[in-house]
Amino acid sequence: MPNYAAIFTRSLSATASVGELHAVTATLRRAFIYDFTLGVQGAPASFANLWQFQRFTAAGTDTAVTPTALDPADTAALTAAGQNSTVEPTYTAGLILAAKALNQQATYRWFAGQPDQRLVLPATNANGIGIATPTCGSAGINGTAEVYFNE
Amino acid sequence: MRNPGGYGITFQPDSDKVQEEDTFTCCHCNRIVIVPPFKSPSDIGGWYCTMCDKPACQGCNGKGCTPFEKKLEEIERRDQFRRSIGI
Repeated sequence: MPNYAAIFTRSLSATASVGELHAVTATLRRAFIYDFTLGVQGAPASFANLWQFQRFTAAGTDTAVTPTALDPADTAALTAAGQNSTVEPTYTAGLILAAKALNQQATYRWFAGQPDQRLVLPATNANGIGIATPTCGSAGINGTAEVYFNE
Repeated sequence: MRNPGGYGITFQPDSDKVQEEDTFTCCHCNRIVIVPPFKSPSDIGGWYCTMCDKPACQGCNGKGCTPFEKKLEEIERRDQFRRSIGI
């Protein structure tokens, strides 16, 4: 099971997602998020942000991000990744998988210590998980989400 | 909670300490739940599903046992059916 890293960066906004991961029809395969790190790149200031991982059933229109294979011998990831969406994904109400309120100066890392703790993306076209900041005190400042997954 | 399986770490710039927390992933909805020290899932509104032999979150409490794997299979089968009829 190859491991990949996808790094999403965006000028934070309460209405625009930071990034998204989803399956695509041609290469359907489940993906499993096992580690992520959230942080803001701006100069230290005291603003609060709420980071959320939420499921969606229709992918947005975005700029593709190429996940990096952690082992250079592995093939390219089959899961699609994107950032800077111009059209937001269609999020499923209530299906928030992780929510973390953080000060802009803080960095948060979560990881799954066991395989059954991972966040799962179904092998279904355009279904996936998006990273958003619906409460955003750091609007206009770049935020970064570093997501590790395997498939 | 013993062996929660997931871990969160918050790094604060104005402190030498990091804040660590245990988490578990709900076996019915795949949600990450933070578990305070020395608490069990039932102490924070969740419960322990004896069918799955894993902890479940507050939102899934009282809704019976539908493993997340089964929900995933349903989602994928629905997608396969839609594609088979050209939708």
